[in-house]
Amino acid sequence: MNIKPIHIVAALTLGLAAPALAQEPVLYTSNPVQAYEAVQANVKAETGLNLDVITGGSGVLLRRIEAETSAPQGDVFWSSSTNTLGAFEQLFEAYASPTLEAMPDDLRYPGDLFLPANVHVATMLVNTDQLDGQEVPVNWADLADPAWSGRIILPDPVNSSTGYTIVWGLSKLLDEATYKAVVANLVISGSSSAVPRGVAMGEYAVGLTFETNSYSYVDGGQTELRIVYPAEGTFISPEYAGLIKDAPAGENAKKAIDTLLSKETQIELLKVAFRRPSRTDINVSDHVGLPDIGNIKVFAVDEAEAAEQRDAALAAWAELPKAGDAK
Amino acid sequence: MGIGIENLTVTYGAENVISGLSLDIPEGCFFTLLGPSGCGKTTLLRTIAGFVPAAGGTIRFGGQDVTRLPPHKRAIGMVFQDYALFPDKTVNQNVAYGLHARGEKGPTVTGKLTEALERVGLGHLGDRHPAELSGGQRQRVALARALVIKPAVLLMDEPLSNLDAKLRVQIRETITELQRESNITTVFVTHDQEEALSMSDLIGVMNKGAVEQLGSPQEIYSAPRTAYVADFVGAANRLSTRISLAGDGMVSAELCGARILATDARTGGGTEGILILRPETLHLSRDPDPARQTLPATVKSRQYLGARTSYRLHLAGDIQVVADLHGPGHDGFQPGETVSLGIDPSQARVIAA
Amino acid sequence: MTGTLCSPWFWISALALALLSLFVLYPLLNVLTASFTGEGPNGWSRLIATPRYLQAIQNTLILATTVTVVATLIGVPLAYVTARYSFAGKSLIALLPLITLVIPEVIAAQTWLMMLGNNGLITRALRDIGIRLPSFYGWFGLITSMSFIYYTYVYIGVVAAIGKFDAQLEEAAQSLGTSPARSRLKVMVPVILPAILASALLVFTMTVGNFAISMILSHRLPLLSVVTYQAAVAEGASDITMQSTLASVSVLIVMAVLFLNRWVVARGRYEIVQGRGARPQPLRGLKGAAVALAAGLVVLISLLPLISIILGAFTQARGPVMQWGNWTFANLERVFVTAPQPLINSLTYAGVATGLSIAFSAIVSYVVVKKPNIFTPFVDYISAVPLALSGTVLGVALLATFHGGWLPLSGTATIIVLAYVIRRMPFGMRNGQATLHNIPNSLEEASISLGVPPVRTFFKVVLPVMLPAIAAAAVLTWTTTVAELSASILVYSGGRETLPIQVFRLIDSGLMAYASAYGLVLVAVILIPIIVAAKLFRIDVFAAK
Repeated sequence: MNIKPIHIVAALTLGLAAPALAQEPVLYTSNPVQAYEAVQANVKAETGLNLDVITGGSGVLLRRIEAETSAPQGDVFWSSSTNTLGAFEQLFEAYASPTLEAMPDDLRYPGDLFLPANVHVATMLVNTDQLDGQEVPVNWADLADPAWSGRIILPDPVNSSTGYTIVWGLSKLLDEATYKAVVANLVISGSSSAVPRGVAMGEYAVGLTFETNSYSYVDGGQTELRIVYPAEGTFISPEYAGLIKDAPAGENAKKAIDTLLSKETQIELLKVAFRRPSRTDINVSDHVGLPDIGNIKVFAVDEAEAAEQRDAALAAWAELPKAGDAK
Repeated sequence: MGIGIENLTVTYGAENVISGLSLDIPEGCFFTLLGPSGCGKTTLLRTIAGFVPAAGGTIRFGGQDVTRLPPHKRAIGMVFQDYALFPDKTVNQNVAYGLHARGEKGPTVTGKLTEALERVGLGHLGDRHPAELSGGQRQRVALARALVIKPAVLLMDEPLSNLDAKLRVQIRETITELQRESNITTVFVTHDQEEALSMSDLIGVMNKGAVEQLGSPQEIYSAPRTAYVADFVGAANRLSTRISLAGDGMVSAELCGARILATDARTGGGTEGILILRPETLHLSRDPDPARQTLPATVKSRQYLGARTSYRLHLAGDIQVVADLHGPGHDGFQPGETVSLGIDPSQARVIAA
Repeated sequence: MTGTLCSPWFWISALALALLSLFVLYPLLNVLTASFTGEGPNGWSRLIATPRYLQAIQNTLILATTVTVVATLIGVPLAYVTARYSFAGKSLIALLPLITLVIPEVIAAQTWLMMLGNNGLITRALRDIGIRLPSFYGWFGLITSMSFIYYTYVYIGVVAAIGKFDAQLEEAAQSLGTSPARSRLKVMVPVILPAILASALLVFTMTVGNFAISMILSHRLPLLSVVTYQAAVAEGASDITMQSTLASVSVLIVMAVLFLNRWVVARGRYEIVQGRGARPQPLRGLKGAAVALAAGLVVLISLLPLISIILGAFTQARGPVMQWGNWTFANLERVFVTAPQPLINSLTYAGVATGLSIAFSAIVSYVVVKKPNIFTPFVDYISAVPLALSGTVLGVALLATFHGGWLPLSGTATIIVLAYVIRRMPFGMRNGQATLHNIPNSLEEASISLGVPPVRTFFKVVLPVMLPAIAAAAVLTWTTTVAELSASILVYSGGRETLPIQVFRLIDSGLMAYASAYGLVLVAVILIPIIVAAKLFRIDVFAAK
């Protein structure tokens, strides 16, 4: 998941008393305003409960939950992919939500400790006004052309799971020389949201990011923007929600999860935040201008391996020269 | 009521600013502390007021020991160099401030207020703010404010030094008048000898935290007991001399190889002394005046000052003396002229070296 | 002495010292010591072993020095022409100080990108005629945007000093045969130098502590505030070694500069000579036009972000995309109706913090200046310590200290108010002390001599005289508190977002229209008290700086 600069707040609030009323559920999430506001609205409509939201980077929030284990303050966690969650399983309890019936088996987490909430798809966001004579790239390998040097932006894999998912995937998909050539063209952004914004503003020609972030600009009417699902196959990463162990809101926490995963909320999230649903009973292309998952070529990566080798991979990554390096 | 100070010590850090000072100021007296800056006069005043704590000794107002009393309980009236008027309050509010603090209300306040302002001649300016007043007017308001509360003692810290020369004389008179009328024991601090001499009943000349000489203005001026006092109050020629007793309160002092007769103002004995010659007591003539004791001198330079002329004279042995001449023909001598310097034995005083 | 123990001032200074020790010194020491303790190798050896951190320190020093120099080069001449000449459009320049105070830095950075970014208006225009600007990310952008924000602090500080500068000194120098230009250099510069140094110091420390612009524009260029923040993200609050070490470095840098400044000022024995200020000379013709144009350009550049948020606030948006030319009130409706909590929070927290900060600084600066005792020098020093702390450092320190234990404040509104008060109180203290130095002791003594006890004298005489300065300080404290971001973004918790936090979050989510609407309301919340103070009470807020 995207770890955003502003989410430092939670990194430093370990062990805090969360300011929630006893029975109202509290959601910990790294997702953007549009997304959690849609969930808040639906929770209110469905259950009458006020869903309180604490935002922060996903890693940060997980550590906060860890610090609060003796007296949990949060109820629901909604962020992150397998490669991050694996290390924090002990903080959550399994919840066999009735909504799981609508989820494909390959997305379900072992033992239903976490529940699939969205599917993220890595994309290239291309600003056709900034091509400067280049063709719109169709393959990841196209980005190895030195003409792209300094014109491609990627969220820092050190701080962002989006960045890490893409870097890990590219390192598996491309041969070493091409991979290095692509990396040499990249500019690294400290902020995930700066990636699609930078491309939309014409700062960069290509941004590598999940479709949920890219599409909001296309949907907003910026016709010069093109979303590319690379032909070699792209990387997908399910995002999970989990019930925090000993959640103080009890049943209300489960109600909040059910609402989050309900068809209505998932459609709403797709419409306002362009988050691809995990449910099988929603046709994405019925609601927004995104292709159905069946029409996207996916390059499978081993998430467990990606999680395991994270430190080594990041160290190797740090050694590679990049376009945005300070001289 | 009078002020009695006994064995007063004031310390600043580890340093004694005033040590073992004793002083009695009689009731109704206009007492002036005179001295250069740094002599301790303001410290003494502020100790009397209570703003500076006494490290030792006692201060009495009338019979009452006020040494440990905080200033706001001492029933003092104080006038400051910078007037210290409350800038946000009108003249009326300033003057009434002390009355309100004493719980007085309504017509009493109005009555006293009007009277106090009338007395300083500012009855018509009651609604103004201090910023709208001239320096002299401000100091009058400050005076009215201090007097309206009928203080036991009135303390004034260089109240005239921020005023120009003409105003200073005017306010001087106002202060003296008001003090005489109210008969409030007053301590007045100044470095200006003219103020001290013209206003005071009693002057204490201060030096290094001690009162060097206490006396009436006349005594301080004409009979200084130390070189410091002689020097500070009025101008004086100070000449070291060897002396021998001549009887009848007179001494014979050696000067330029000659001996002249002078009044003995020493406190002790010895053969060394300082001859004090006030410039205005000296006489000059072209020829030695047989009626006086004279010394030969040369006019070095002169300053014509209208009412008088000040001459710088050289005596034998490279001794310099200043002589001021008044009266008809005071400007009659020219630089380079050889003259006779006449010294009146009763005006020449020898003090201890 | 029994006398001192009975004095209420003694107890007030003791209480002030206790509060300052608890809320300033203790958290700071916590951070400083955490760099040595903590798990694993100590922070300093890790610092030295990590080239990126060393690079960040070096870059921060270079950036702060450059920005200080550039800001001074813009601010001083502007102050000089404003104080000494009158020309067309001069009154616009009076707006300058307001502009910096009211524009959230995030928005300013965003606007700069619109102008000079890879796809900026100016960048494109220049590219069309064959000039390629360097990338705005990194040095170019950081120096340009920070200089054009911070020069106003130099301007505000120096314009006041030149205004008070005794023109007779300059005339005296001319009468002695030096040319006007040289007289100015020889006479005026040494006299206004303390003001220049003081404001340059302010710019330096603000650059070192800058968070918002650094985050947006530094990209791969490591800067101290950014790596501190990243360390905090990586470490959380359980192990604060690295964030504490980096925070300590920033404290040390600012302390070193403070001491250097003190040393320079103390050596020079400078004193601002108050006297008859010069009357502004009218500038006409070509020279006047040139000065007006140059000054106007500076103002216009400073105003751009303001224009962009006004337009943005009323522009329709679909997601992150602005539909320029389509107007709407929907964004403002969100601020006031749909999601008014940030506005309410800001008003509440900043209001309480302003009240506390002003009350504390009025009373405590009185004790420090007028009733010195054994505690007051410490009170004086410690109250100035927050000047050396960036918001990020303060946030780290408060959270590390009050996240549990006997005083668990984190997650409460109290910690936000506390952060506000600590950050802004030194300015109130400075202002209070300056005012009190100008109130002669005789004023109080006059009151006491008239029979009013010391404490009542403070309320009856001193406070009324301080009131205009206090009111000005209150407005200034309010404006800077409402706009505070870097400390509050660390200590706030869900539901306690303030306007600047909301603007930052919305910009981060790419929602410029909403961000502009909240930003515009923030600007209004800042401006209204300043205008009211100026119009109704004739208070010159910037005299309090």
